[in-house]
Amino acid sequence: MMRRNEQTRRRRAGFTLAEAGVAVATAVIVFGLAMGVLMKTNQTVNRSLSHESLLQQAELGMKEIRSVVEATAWPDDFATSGSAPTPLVFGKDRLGIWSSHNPASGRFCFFTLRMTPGDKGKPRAVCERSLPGGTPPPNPTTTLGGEFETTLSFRYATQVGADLQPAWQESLPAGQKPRLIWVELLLRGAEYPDMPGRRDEVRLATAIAL
Amino acid sequence: MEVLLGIVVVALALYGVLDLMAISQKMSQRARRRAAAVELACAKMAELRAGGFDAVAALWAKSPAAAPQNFYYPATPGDFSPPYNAKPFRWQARFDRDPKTPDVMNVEVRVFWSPAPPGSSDSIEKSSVAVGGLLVKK
Repeated sequence: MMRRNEQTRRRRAGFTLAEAGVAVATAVIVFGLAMGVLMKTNQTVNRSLSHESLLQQAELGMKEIRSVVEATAWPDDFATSGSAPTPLVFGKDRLGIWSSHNPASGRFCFFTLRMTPGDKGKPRAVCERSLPGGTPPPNPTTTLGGEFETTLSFRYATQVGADLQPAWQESLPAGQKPRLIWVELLLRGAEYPDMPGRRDEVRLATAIAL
Repeated sequence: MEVLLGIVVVALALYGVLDLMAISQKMSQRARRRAAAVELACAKMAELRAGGFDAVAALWAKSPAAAPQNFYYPATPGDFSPPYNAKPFRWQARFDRDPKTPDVMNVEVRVFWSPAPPGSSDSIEKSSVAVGGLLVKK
C-alpha cells in the first residue's frame, strides 16, 4: 500500500509534455502581445514627443512674431532718432517693420520676418534684426520654428467692413499702414518612419491689430 | 489555474498600457486644437478691435433678436473665412453692456472645435476656448 502511494507521488512530480507545451505556447502568445504593445507604445511616445516639440516651436515662433509686430514703431516715430529708417515692407511672405522689441539693447531695431530656402531646400522662416546705424546686432538672425520645415504667410487689412470682416490684401503699397496683420505659421515635422508619406503638421494663424 | 491568473494579470496590464496610450493621444490632440483655437480667438478679438465699438453697436442695433444687454455675433457659431484655413473651428462673439457704462462693451470670443456644444457646460469647456476683452467708444 505504502509502495503504491510512493509510486503515484513520483509519477505526479514535474509536468507532462502537453502541460509544458501549453505553458510555452501561452508564454509565447503573452510575450508576443506584450512586445507588440511595447513597440506600439514606443512609436506613440516618439510621435507624441515629436508632436509636442512641433507645437512648442510653433507657439514660440508665433509669440516672437506677435511681440515684434505689437511693438511696431512707425517711421514718423523716428523723426528724432537721427538716422533714416529702412522702408517698411508688407509682402505676402515678408514683413519688414521698425520695432522697439530689440532683445539686445531694448532700443529700436528693424525686423524682417521672411522665408528662406534653408538646408536641403526645406523652407525656413527667419527673423532678422538690424540697427538704425547699420551696425549688426549680436545674433542678427533667429530661426522661427526651430529645425522644422516652416512656412510663413502674411495678409494685411487697412479697413474692416460693416459686417466686421476685414478686407485682406496680399501686400500693401509703400506709404500705406495696415490696421490688421494676419500671420500664418505652418510647421511640418519629418515623415513618420512607420507611415511613409504621412507627416505631422501644426498650423497656427492669428491676426494682430495695430 | 495559475496560468489563467497570470494571463488575466498580463491582460489587465496590457489594457492599462493601451488605455494610457489612448489618453496620451487624446490629450496631445486636445493640446494642438487648444493652441490653434487660442490664436484664432485672439485673431477674432483683434478684428473686432479693429472694427471698433461703433461698428459693433450698429450691428447690435440692427439685430432683431438681440437682448438690450447682450448680443451674439454671428447668431450661431460661424466658420472662419479665407485667408484662415481653419476647417474644424467655428467662432462666436458675445457682447455685454452695462447700462451704467454705455460706452464700454465686454467682449468674449469663443472658438469651438466640436460639431455642436452638446448641452453641459463641462463639454463646452472641453471643446472650446474663449478670450475676453473690452471695446471702448472713442
